[in-house]
Amino acid sequence: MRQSFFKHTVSAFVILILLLSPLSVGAQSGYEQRLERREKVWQKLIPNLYMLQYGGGIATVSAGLGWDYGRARQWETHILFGFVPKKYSHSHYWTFNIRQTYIPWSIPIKNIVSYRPLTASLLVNSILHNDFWMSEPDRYPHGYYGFSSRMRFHIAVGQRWTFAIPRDKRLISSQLSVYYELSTCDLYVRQKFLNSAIPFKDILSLGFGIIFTI
Amino acid sequence: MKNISLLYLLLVASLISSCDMVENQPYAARITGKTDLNTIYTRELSAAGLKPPFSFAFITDTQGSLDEMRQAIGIIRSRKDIDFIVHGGDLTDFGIVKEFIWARDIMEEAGIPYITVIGNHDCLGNGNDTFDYIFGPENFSFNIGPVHFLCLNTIALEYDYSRPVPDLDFIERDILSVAETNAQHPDSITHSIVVMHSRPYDEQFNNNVAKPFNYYISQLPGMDIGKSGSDTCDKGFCINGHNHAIAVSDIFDNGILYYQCADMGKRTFFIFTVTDDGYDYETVVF
Repeated sequence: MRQSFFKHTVSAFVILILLLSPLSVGAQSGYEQRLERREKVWQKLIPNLYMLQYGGGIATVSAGLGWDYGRARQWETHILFGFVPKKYSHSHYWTFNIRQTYIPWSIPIKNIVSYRPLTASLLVNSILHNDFWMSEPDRYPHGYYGFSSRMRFHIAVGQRWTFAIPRDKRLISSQLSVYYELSTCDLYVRQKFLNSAIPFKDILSLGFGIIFTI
Repeated sequence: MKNISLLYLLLVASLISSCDMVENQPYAARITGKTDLNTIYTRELSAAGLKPPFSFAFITDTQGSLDEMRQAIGIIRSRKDIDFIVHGGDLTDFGIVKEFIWARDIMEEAGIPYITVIGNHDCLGNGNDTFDYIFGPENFSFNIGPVHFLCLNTIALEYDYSRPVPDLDFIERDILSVAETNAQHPDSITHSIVVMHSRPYDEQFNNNVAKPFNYYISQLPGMDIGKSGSDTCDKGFCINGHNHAIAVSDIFDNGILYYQCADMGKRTFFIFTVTDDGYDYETVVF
């Protein structure tokens, strides 16, 4: 037991030395290679999508950033901050949103426009205001309401058109996409399920926006 | 192909601009249609020149039971002997804007005036603000001939008792104004009906003031046992919802009856008929 501990300590120490000391000499030292590797890892976390959205059941206007990934870049994660001005409601509201999107098909059209006939998203929306709670305040008996007024879950489907920006005309991005999205949220679905009196269009919300791909 | 795609895009854009489905957030959705309804309809009722006997329907806790509510409104409309509707609160489950609009639009189908008190579910999120915007004041009173209606917000737990709910100052001012009217025109107000969502000794009520509340209410005309020798007040009573069950109780053992109606999900509502000598009530189960 004691011997194996010693062995492990020694091997760990050797690995550490190997990792830290610039032993390999050549065009690039180990140190430089490791720095490069580290940068590559962190670079993957730099968002490559920036977006603006109007409506969509999450706020009046939202701005956010995101990442696309997967073999065909069919997955996207977006983080959006939304704003509802006071003139549209009782007060102004800020919202925080996380959206996960799946895009099964991308149809190239003449190399300039690609058309994505379906985007499917799940979104968590949180309204950042004291009137809303994540879980019920202590004053209520346990499970009095049994829901969170602050957190909404949305599902959405939409379509997207992507335009490649010619090299000489690029300012901040290489591609520009326009999209629309039809969404509904957990509370709407519940109420529609329980009440046929609710018009179907009342539970749907339309949003549209643009995405800049770096 | 590119042109087709662009054409399609234009089509979608025109669709977007033509309909108002672009929504901010469920709690911040745009409010369209009639607003300030308690003010509008109490004014209408006071001016209508109604005199006993008249009838009104009491529906309550219609949250998430819009189909049943629509049926009830259909029954009320077809009877033609009901002059107005009183809603006992909890129009919504979650206090979201659309829920208020759905409930309002179904009430509008009745084609007669209606008044609404706030329920605890209507307070969720910013629902209190939406209620105030669409339905107007939470505490209000009006007269129909000799009958005084006092409608109150009684959901104290929602505010963690930080607001004066029930507002005893408001009730006191109301009692004084009724007394003044009666001083100027003796016996012009003889009946009182108090409408609330949650009643004394519910978990929502501020039970620290249950007795003072009862004291104030008992000052209203008709809220005394009178000379008839009956055990209960002939010309005064309270109506409430909240507990999703029918109950008629003399809570303070002073003859003031609280008529508690079941929720709309139980396909039940009350019809009260107020006469010169007293009142009658009927339970409708459909």
